[in-house]
Amino acid sequence: MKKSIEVENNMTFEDAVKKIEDIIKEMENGRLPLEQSLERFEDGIKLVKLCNTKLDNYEKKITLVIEGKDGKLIEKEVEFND
Amino acid sequence: MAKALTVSQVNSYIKAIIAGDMILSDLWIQGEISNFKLHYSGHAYFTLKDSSGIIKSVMFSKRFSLLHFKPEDGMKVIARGNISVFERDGQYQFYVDSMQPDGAGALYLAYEQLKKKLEAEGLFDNKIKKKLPLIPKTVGVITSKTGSVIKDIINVTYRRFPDMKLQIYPVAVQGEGAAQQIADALNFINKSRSCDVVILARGGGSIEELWAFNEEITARAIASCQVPVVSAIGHETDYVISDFVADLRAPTPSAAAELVVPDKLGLKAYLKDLEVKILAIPKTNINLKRAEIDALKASHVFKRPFDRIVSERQFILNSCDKLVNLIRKNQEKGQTQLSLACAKLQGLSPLAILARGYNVAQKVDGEVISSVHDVDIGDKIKVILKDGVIISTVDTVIGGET
Repeated sequence: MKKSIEVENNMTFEDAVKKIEDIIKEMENGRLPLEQSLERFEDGIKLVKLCNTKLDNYEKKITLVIEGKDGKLIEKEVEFND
Repeated sequence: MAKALTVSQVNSYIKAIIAGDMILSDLWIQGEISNFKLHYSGHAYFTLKDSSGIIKSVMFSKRFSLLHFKPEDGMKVIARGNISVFERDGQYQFYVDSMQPDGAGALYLAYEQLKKKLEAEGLFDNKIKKKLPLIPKTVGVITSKTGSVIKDIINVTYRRFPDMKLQIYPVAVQGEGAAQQIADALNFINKSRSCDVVILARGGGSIEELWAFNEEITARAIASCQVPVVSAIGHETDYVISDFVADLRAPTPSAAAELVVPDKLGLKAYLKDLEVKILAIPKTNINLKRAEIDALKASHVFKRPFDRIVSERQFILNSCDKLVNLIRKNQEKGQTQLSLACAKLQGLSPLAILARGYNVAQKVDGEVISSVHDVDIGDKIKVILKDGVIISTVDTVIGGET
């Protein structure tokens, strides 16, 4: 019975964290066959990596969304100094 | 002339008419308190007056105890209740259910009415409140471009998550058109999904200054926005309609940022924790399985494999012994029975009778003589004894007369 978790990039951070927690719970009770627990282990590591990527994949930016000349809203990057 | 009515009849007739009146059964009255008296029973008696009239009012203790302020003479209030007749005095009175100081009486009334209406529509239901994303990619902020609110939000955001993307929707947060601007921004976000969560914020102010957040157009825009909205309007003690409709209310704009923006270091630490746990698991698991194998190896079967054979052999030996004993017992029983039978047989033998000293008389031809009539005098007879035979002749026969 192979039921590996598909680690996809469009998985939300919440879901990924939840999956990791589930994997740990499942493996900690020690009832999984060894082979399967190794698969879960790999999934877990992949998910941790995915979460870290999601956390690091930010670019600091402040934008203002204001009305452009044509009346449509446009987004404009700004510097905020205080 | 019509029949005269009693005083009580008139009073109760008037009371019935007033009770049946739609307006008088639930109304708001604006006025100034005078002649305020708090009875020892807890009921409050006073009059409400304006420049040209008064109305007697009463507020029963149960209602009065719920008031958030202390009414006193000269105070302008706006009160809600119904008009009824006090028959004993023949006077109509205002029975007050709730009362507010009338700083901004009209606004307060509008606030209460809109709140009631939206609540009835289910716009405040916890069921329809959306969960905030754990890590939003972009945080939208609808607020004034100037002032401390936006600065506070930026500061808190970058303290918690140094590279978060903030998208600011500058709007007027008070005055003419403010509500429309706020609603436009919310509608734009709802349509474009340009951010994952919105903070709707404004600093403290009077009820008039916060009014844009009590308007229906704002409330409806929040309610229909599919992107989660956090409302942070005024000070901690200020409640506006936006707070009730929003998916989450924050006591202050800074608190809103705390709620919306995740603590990056905290999350990193948590992930590290999870990773450490996961990394430890294969080892733990293998150790667990190894311990299982050790336990198996330590079991009796593997340690003393011949125990079983020894015990089986013992069982067989025991069984053999039992069998031999049984056979022996049966044999003994048979022998005893045989000798008993022999003894019985012996007792019955004629030779045994002879041995005891008896003898048998026979004619010469061997016929046993059992009566004196069997012989005649002079007949030869044989007398058989235990050790031989005597041949003799019958001399005399005695007896036998019949």
